Amino acid sequence: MAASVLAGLTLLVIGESHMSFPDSLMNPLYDNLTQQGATVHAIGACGANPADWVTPKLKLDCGATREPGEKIKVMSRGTMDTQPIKDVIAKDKPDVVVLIMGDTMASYKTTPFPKVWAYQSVTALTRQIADTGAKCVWVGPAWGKANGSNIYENTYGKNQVRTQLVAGTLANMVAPCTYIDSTHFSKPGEWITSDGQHFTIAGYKSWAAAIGKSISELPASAVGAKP
Amino acid sequence: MRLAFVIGGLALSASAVSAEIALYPTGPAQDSAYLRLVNVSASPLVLTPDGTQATLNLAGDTFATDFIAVPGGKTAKGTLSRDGHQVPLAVTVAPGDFATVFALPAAGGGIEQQVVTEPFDLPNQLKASLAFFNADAQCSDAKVNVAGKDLDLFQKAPAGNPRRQELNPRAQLAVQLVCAEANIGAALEIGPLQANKRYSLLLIPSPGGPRLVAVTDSVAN
Repeated sequence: MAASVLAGLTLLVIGESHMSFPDSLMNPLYDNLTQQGATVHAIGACGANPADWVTPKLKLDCGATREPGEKIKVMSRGTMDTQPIKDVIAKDKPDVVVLIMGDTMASYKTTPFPKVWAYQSVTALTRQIADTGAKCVWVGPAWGKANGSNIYENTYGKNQVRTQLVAGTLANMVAPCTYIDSTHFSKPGEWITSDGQHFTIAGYKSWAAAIGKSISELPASAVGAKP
Repeated sequence: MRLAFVIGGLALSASAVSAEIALYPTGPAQDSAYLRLVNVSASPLVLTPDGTQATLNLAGDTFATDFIAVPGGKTAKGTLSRDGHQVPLAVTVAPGDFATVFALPAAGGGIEQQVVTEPFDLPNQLKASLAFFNADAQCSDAKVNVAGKDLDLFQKAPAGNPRRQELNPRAQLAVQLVCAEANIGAALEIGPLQANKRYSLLLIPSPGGPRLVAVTDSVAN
């Protein structure tokens, strides 16, 4: 098997609540990327939107970190803050930053989609990452699973229409990051959720495998690897 | 430049939200709205938002603020002061819109406000975005040409609706203001125009006649 494009690279992976629990995306994605030869520092921050990594959001409801070679460290309510991305990058010196964010911007229960707010939030973060010289990959939201027959009826109001809008909008918003569209990885409702938005471990394993495969297929230039 | 518009009665108590079930934010209930102020005078302009002690001062080369976040759909209120004259400011910006308030000179030395609102379209991230705001009625048939070329960059922007277009990024661009088919003043050098950034050309009155100035459309942190 050919060596992965990620072999020898250092990755900083930042996500939302999807990355903040033991049976979440955190462990399977960390394992996948590590098995490809990358050194991975992963952070999950519940409810944090991109701009919260420019101006820190304090006392998050939940979160988790996983340092290279370590096990997941789950943070209890009020014990974790987001940090300025420039500080995290200065400490980790990643070749590429992988951002898995979408649901914290979607405003699933709001019409219309707050695209100006989302644009300001996304570009505030991408510009700071670009200034550091690190490469960047942005993974958009995956399909959820609405409860019952009404697709709008679930805890977060996650629905297919807004998910598709956010996924498509992010694709045109995240440059110079490379965009990975998670809606291509499954069919709506295919991955089982507990609340319409957060998957069971089976779904997270599928999502992690799909993200890892997509990143591995990116050109070397997109992840800061030598061609 | 940091300034907050305070609207009474908007503060919501977080304690009203149940803490039993963790619900992570999925974005705001409505979109952002922004307002910037342009001082069309050589005299300093002071904005004092209602309900605050803070003031915002525009003087000298600083003639325009960044875009400042304001509550969408709510009226941002304050007082504008210049040359001993004071006028109330009351501007409502719809969620998702960007408003530019020109503080124009009025007869007798007062302040006349002209508000131009621009809806936001997602920019092409490979292009630079340049807008033309016309706040000088004395410039008839206003146009902005590429300097040295008979090439329209902008024709007169309709009242209250600026024109905006996307350009290839470039190190610089020289533009020429044209009023009534005659070049006005020297060419204005603008740039660099960078991809995924927004800029504005502002046509404003001055004692010497219509004047074109360029600003970067930055959002205040």
